[in-house]
Amino acid sequence: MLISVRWLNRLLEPGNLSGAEAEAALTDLGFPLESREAIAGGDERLDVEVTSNRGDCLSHVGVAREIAAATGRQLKQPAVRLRADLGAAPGALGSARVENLIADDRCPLFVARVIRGVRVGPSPGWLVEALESIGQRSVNNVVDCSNYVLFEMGHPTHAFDLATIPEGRIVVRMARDGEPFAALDGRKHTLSAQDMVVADRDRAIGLAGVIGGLETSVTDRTRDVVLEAAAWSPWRVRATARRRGIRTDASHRYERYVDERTTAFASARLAEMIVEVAGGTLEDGAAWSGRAAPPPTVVTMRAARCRAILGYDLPTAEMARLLRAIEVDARVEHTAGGEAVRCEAPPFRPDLTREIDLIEEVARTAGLGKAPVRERIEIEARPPQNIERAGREVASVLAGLGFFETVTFGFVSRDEASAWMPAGLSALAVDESRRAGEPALRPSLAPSLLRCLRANHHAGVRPATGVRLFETAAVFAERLATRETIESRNLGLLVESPEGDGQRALRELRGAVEAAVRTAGGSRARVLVAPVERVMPALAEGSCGEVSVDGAAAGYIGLVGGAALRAVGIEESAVAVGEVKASVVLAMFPPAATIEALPAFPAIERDLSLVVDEPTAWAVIEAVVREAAPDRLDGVEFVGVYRGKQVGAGKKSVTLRLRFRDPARTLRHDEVDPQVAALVSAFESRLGAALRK
Amino acid sequence: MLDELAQIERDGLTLLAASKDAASLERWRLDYLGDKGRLKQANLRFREVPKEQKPAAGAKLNAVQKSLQEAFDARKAEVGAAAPPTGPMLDLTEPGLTPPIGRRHILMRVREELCEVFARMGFEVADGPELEDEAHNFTLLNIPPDHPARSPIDNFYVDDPDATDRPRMLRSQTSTVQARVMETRKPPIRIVAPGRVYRPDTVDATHSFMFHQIEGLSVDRGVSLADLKTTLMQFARAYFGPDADIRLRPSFFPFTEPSAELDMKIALRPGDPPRWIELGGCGMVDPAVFTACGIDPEEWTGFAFGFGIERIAMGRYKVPDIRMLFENDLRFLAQV
Repeated sequence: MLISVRWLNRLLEPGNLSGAEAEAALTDLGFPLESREAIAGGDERLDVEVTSNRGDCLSHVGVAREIAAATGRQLKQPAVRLRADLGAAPGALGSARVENLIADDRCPLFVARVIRGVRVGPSPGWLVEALESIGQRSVNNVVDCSNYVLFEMGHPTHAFDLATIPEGRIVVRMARDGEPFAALDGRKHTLSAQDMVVADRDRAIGLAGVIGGLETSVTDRTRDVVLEAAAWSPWRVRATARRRGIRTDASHRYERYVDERTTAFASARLAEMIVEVAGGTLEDGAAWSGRAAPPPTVVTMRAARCRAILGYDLPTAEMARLLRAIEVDARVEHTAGGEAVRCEAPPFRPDLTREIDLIEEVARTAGLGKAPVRERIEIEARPPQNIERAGREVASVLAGLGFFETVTFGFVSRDEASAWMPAGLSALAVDESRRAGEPALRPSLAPSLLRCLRANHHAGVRPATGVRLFETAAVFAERLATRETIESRNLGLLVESPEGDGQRALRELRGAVEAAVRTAGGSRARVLVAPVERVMPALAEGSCGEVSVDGAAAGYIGLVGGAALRAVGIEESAVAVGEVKASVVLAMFPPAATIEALPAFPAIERDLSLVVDEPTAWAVIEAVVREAAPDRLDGVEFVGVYRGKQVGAGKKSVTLRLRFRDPARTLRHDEVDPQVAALVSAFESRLGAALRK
Repeated sequence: MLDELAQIERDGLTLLAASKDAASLERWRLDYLGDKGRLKQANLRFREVPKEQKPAAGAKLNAVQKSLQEAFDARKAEVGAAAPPTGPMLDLTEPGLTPPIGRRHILMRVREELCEVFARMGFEVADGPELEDEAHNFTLLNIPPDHPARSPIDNFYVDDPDATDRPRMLRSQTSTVQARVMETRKPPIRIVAPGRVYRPDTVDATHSFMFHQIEGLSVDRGVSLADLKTTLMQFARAYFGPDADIRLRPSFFPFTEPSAELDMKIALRPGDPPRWIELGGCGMVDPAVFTACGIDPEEWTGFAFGFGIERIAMGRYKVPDIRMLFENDLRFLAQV
């Protein structure tokens, strides 16, 4: 909202406000300045930010009132000689007739006045200068007066050429579906039954609260004018302005509420100003139509409640004084419940309807700086939050393992969403116009991490040890059968093998998942990966494992398939991804461990290298050991896999380490030889394995 | 100058230790202590040193001269006496062997720092969904059905709000968590809710359509505007240092009354001069919000505040463009 300091000074006594003083006062009152600049003629122009609840301050009078209250000046309201109240309801008077068919909350009041014999022409210098000081262009003396009143008191008005309105008959009604309307700005609109219009006998001549009509506008040939001043429903004006794509100074104010109790005054002010500037004779009285004006809003503010919200002691009389300074009729009352301030809100403050609204006005005008800042706060000790601690520790461990934490957007393309969608679920998406090309909410973190990998590749960033990424964030989907919304916070990981070794990438990723789980759940937490059919189309065939943590399903790991890699523009590469539910992993924290005494006697370790068929999985070898349950076996470990000429095609050599221990004494080698021999024959008979020498 | 002298001293001592015979010692002497040596060169530039720094620089110059001369004398005596080494020797100057390590993202670091400071002030971290309904994003927060903030232009709706009873949307503010906590818990309540929010902003150096906020809420008997200011001041001093200051300017938000803009006079980066920064909004919880969430506003009062995490992270690490935070270039991530 542009404000001229000179204009403000015309409304203030004493009128000696400087731009700097205005800026300081307005900032403290909650109206910060976007800018302050010197303009022609020694004036200053302020661009004042006005919050949406304070439509009354979209005017010089409104801003001057605030400044007067804060700086101890007096507000000089513009005066009118006409009676500001309208008297009994004459729908017709003189040359104009008003029929308000929507005289409820849609159009609470419509007032028309007629001036005959105006001389339309250029405006006087002071008027041109005043409008230009706030960036407005002078049109002609009649239109300029209407604009002046708008920027002076914040009440829009409009002038019609009486000769263009048959019988001076004005009808306020809802538009008809498909009704045409030619607006002042030259655009043509087709209206709907939701729009309110000002009409003459046959056609719409104004789009209520938004813009006047072209054919009835004031021109150089105009002799007689009809002046409109009206109040309109804020939300209907907003809806119409949005539907028609028009935003005007008038609609901006009506959307923020213009009170019907200020309409008669605006009508009188405009009429007197036009007669003064453009001559002519004002017909007696006003033609008007409206509902009964609502009574003033009266709110009782309990002084004790006000002090309790402010947190400091402010005398009740001072509260009343502060409120009176902004024209709230405030009187101290003594009630059974203690002191109170009875407040009658002025009509231009429709936002003051509740006790808390008045408390806010007291706080604001007293100055928020007045509330004291203490040196201590009281707190109740609370236990540490395990989920938070777990999240922090897991992230630190992953960073220590070479993983970089990313923060990526929650949107992906529809193609990515379907490639990474688990079975039975479907994608949620926002309106395509909001996120062109990637409207889908991601069902998985993997596509986002893949995009990061691609961006790093494109930037030439390829660390020798490969890219490793992780992120904890929400993923979204909808269950196909029930339309149930699914939002899950996942820990997602990505490992790229720079050598293109998929097995290695998967093992590193699985290792990271195990490290994360054991950080949260302790070293005994059981992480199992069971080979399954791929859980998402984007994963490579035969690469997918379902991750369970202590028996509960937690997520998956897998290799990204070639198609999914190519889709994001990554050339052949081995990339493993995995996701586990943060809720499952982090909830294990803190690790519940019972410390066991350390073994008192040494163990005997035996390494065996078994040549087996390629498809023989490690889990099978482990199972054979478990089934044989050798005496005094303390553990079995995977050491490594070797493939090569000595082993033969279609075969691999798997090395495992067996550890034997007796809790009560030191074992001799001959005590474990029989168990090892039995195991070797079990491997031979069950797996066709040969011992590699 | 002081840094330069210290560097000369370090280099000199390192190279001196590596001088193993009389010839290399003499070369060292000419390089460091000779008429055209590094110390003499430094001495020549002494007059460019600003006047107020001269005493310190002079003292340092003398100290380095003395240290290098003494080291030279001692080394000369040693080289004369010792036999040249045979076999491999330890070299402590070879670079360290570090396994490749990753980094936390700076937004997540700042999120955790903020939560930690608030935790010390008795605020628990609360969480809520990012895919929300209108009730929690708007209605319970005193934003009525015809309010402009609900416009589909300014929000990411998943369902058409005109065609669905309970349209889903990505939350536009973390205040949703306030509503969820107040619906389900009885006061006293003291929570912070950090998280992602979504608004269809045009992306530029300071705007993104997804960003992070942290929301605070305190509800108890007798909570006042003075408590709000005290809490924010304590936070500002704990996080930004003892010289931090705060300022509240009246404003308007549907869910608080009185409402205020929150400015802090802080050095976002330790060592920078403090300046006023618009950080976010705050206010006393509007009684209508309490009533909507089933809390009696006559018995309980409260305050709420919220601010952006990117703003703090970008200031703290001098990130010039918000988009860098979301590109996840390892060269960016590794700089912290």
